[in-house]
Amino acid sequence: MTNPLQAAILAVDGVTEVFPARNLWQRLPGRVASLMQPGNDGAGDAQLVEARDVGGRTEVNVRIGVSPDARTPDVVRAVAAAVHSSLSPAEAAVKVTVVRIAPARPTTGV
Amino acid sequence: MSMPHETFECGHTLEELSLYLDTGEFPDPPHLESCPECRSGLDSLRRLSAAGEELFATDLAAAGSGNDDWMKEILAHLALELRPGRSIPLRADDPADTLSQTEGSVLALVRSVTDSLPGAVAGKVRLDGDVTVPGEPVSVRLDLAVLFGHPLMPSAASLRADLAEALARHTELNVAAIDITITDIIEAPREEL
Repeated sequence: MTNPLQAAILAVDGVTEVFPARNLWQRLPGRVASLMQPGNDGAGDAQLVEARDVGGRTEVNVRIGVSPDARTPDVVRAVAAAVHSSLSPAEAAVKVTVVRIAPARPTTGV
Repeated sequence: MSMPHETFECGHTLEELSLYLDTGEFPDPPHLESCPECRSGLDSLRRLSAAGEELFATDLAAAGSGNDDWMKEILAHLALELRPGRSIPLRADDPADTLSQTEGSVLALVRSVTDSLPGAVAGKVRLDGDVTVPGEPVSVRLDLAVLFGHPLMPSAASLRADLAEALARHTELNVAAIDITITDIIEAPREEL
């Protein structure tokens, strides 16, 4: 399921995809704990956009892919602005990391 | 051909990616959707495979006119580059924000632009200089394998222009130099008469 913040990020021109906010090795401890819960197969445990409240401010962490046809710095700033706009009027600090500059993936296969 | 066994930060290897392209088998298929480094690795392997088909109508070693050392070297460098690397800052409009790109994403971009040049394959790619400090001069160093018969100087000049444009479009790096070294001239196999 796509959450509203993720939808706002994907709507930014030049964004090809949103990757899990944390690398696998950072997610592993939580994943292991999750798998130990009865009835949990671990599917869908990768949080794409991480948002948490820290001292009354929302901290958002997002990793994105950018199209080679776009201008990466402009896309990144537009993503940050889209997140601020989505969370407004709440105060937010946005961390955006570009992890891939490549065409959007085909609809099937990797 | 043996594949490098270096393990990426995500725990997978270039060998596993290669096997996936050959057989469709991978220990953790959903991972390939969510890992940018593995995705870049798959892209590079696909381009290398296409280049290999272009460069080798038949196997060079079998034809007795060369060997595949250059390909092994490229794979070894690729295995080392497929990791996030350093964090390269991007200017933010809001001082509370932290915007950046991974060094791995920029290296993959350089490799992609290079591999699009006909008759050329990127070897070692690196960014020299402190990319973590805005405005610091950075040099792009690129080793290139070129198919025999392709004009070297026009190719290098054209590639340098393409790389400069791509880096200006996708980074805020202060690129002081783009140094291209042709490290391999690949001799195409001769047809048996």
